[in-house]
Amino acid sequence: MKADGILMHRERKVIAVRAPQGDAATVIQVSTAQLDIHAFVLSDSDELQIDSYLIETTLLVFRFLTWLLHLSS
Amino acid sequence: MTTTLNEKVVFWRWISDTKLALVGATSVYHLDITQGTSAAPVKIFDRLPTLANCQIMSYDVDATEKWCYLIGLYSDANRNILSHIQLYSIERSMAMPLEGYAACFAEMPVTDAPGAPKTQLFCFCERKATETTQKFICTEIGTPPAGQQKFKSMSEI
Repeated sequence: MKADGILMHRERKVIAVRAPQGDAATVIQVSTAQLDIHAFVLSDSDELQIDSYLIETTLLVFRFLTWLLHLSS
Repeated sequence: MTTTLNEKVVFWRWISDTKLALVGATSVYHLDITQGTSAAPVKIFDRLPTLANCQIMSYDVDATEKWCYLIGLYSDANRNILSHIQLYSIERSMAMPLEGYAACFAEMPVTDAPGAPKTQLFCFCERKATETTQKFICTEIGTPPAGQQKFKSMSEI
């Protein structure tokens, strides 16, 4: 399965990944564990596979948010 | 947790700490992630036919989770960009079509009286396809206190 979107919930440190199955269905996978995108993506070959640019973008956003949190604390 | 929705998701967002909103090609669903492995999307409402060919831009739910709105853009035969809003009452299972491009829910007093209670409001920017003017409309969606009329404010943008 190939994912076409990731949604991160900053407060809960949860990410949701969606993978369309043609026009008839969409698989939604939510990681309720601590946010660890690399582990999430690479954990199992049966898991949803996320495009590398999505991973990079999400990591970049996460680092930016962490930096903002660091600045505000 | 993994779940499958039996239609293509065209828009999604977190609407609370525990709920995902999934806008499909024909309906809108909420997914409560606290349900664990048994979590399944719950259908909230069907999209109105007017929004069928729209590109979904926004979706939100009010603080009481009794009202929702969906906004979609479309272009007419003259390539003008126009938009529809579908306001929906979950309690009454009733949809209200509007022509607008931005909206929000709010909870605030609408009078200057000290200790005035908060009023549940729905605000949106209205732009009708047949008109050139735009309006900002703010209207009460809750039940007003006995003997009082629903608050409504309108001004041209």
